[in-house]
Amino acid sequence: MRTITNDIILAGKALEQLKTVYDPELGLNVVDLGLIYQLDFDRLSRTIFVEMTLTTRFCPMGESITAGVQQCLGNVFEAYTIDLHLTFDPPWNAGLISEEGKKQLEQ
Amino acid sequence: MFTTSPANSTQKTTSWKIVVPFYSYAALSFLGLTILLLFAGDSFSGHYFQPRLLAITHMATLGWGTMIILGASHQLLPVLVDGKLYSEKLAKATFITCAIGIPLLVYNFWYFQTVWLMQAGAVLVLSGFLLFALNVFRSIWNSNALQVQVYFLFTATLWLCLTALLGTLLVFNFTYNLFSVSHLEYLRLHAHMGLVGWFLMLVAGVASRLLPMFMISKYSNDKLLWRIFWLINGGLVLFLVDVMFAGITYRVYLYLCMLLAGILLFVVYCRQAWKQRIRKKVEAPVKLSLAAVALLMLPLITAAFLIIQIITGSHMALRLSVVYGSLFLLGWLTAIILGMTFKTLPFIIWNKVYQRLSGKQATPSPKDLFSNRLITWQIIFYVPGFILVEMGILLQNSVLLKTGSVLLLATAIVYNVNVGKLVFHRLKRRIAL
Repeated sequence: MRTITNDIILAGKALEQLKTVYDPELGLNVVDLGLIYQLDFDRLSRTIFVEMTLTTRFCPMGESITAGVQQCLGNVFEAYTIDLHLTFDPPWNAGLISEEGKKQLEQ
Repeated sequence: MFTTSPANSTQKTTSWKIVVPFYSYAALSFLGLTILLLFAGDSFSGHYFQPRLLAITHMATLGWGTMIILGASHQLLPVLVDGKLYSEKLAKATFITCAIGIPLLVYNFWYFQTVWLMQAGAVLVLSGFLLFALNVFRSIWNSNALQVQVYFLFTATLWLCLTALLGTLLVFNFTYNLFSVSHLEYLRLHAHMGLVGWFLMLVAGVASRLLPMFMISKYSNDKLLWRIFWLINGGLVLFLVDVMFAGITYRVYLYLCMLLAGILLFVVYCRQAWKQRIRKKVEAPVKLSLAAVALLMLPLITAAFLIIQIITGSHMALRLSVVYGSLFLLGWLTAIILGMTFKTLPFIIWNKVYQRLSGKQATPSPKDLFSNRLITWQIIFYVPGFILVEMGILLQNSVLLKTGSVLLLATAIVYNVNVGKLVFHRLKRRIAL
C-alpha cells in the first residue's frame, strides 16, 4: 500500500528516514511493512500528521514501533510537532507489504 | 515534540515485570525436574502411582509446563483477545500462589508426606489457577473480538481449573477418604484433563494464531479450527464420562481417533500456513515448535497399544503408562517450550531494554539477545537424552535411563544459561544515550 500524503517532497524525505525504524519481530522496516497509511505536513503550524497501523492491535512491540516512528521523524524535522494517530481501519494484512519488503522476507 | 491521539494511542501490552518471573521460575523448574529424574532411581520400574513419579510429574506439569505457559499467556492474551489484560495485580497473585504451592506439593509428593503441607500446596496451586481464570475471563469479557482462538483459551483455562480441583480433592483423599472408588481411577481423569484439556487445547489455540503471524502467512481457516476444537474437546469429554462410569473399554479407541483426527487437522492447518508464508526464512525456534507437533504422534501411538494392554490386563500396561505420560511431558511439551521460549522471551526483554532507543539509534534485534550456538547445543543434548530416557523406561534399563537423564540435565543447564543471558541482558554502555 502506498502512503497517502499532501507533500510529496517532505514525505519522501520522511519515508526514507522511516525505513530505519524496524518491526523487531519481523525484521522489516515500517514503510515496506505497509504500516504508514498517511503522512501529511502542515508547514504553517509545523505539524506532521501521521496515521499508521500495527500488524495486530495489541502488538507486543507496538509501543516501541510508534515511539520509533515519533523519534525518527522528530530527529529529521526538529521544528515540527509529530501528531501520531493509530488506526486499525483498515486492519493490516500481508497484502500491504511492499514488493521490496516481500523480496527481503523471501531471502 | 510528540503528541499521540488519546483515542488511538498505542495499546498497552503486559509489563515484562509480570511475565519474566514465570519464565525464570519455569527454567529453574526444568533444571529441578532433570535433577529429580537423575535421582529417581528405580522409580520408573514399578507402578506409576508412587511418590517419586508423582513428584517428577508435578514438577514437569506445574513447575515447567504450566508456569511458562502462564507467563506466555499473560503476555499473549492481549493479542489473542484483542484487548488489555484485565489485571496485572491478579497476574502477580497467580505467580506468588503458584510459586509457593508447587514446591510444597512436589516436596511432599517426593517424601510422600500427606500432611497439611501437601494440602496447603494443592490449595495454593488451585487458588493461583482460579485467579488466572478470573483474569482470563474478565479480559475476554472486556474484549472487542471473540475469535475462535479465544474459545480455545477459555476452554483450556476451564480444564486447568477442573484439573487442579480434582487434583486437590485427590490430595485431601489421602487423609479423608473422599472417594468411594479407587484413587487410581480418578488419577486417569485428572491426568487427561491436564494433558489434553489444558496443555493441548491451549497450545493449539495459541499456536494457530502465532505461527501464521511469525511466518507472515496469509492462511486463515476458522472452520478448520472449529473442527479441531470440537474433535479434541468432544473426544476428551466422552473419554472422561465413559472411563468414569465404565473404566477402560474398546470404546476408548473411538475417543482416541477423535483426538487423533483433531491433531491431524491441526497439522494440516500448520502445513497450509507454512505453504502460504511470505517469510521464507523461518528461525530455529519456530522450526522446533513445528517439529514438536509431529512429536505429539508418539504418545498417541503409545496410547493405542496401552488401551489393549489395560483391557487384557497385560503386565506391560504399567510400563506403557509411564512411557505414555513421559512422551507427552518430556517429548511434545518440552520440545515446544524449548522452541517457543526463544521466540517469545527475547521480545519481552528487547521491549524492556531497547524500547526507548527505537528510532534514535541502531539497536540489536531480539534474536541477537540470546546465543544461537547454545540453542544448537540444547538440541544436541535434548534429542538423544529424550530418546534414551524413553528407551530406558520401556526396556527397564537403568543405564539408558541414567545416561538419558544426564543428557536432559545438560539440556536444562544450557537452556538456563541462555534464559539467564536474556533475563540479565542489560544495555551496553557504548550504545547508551
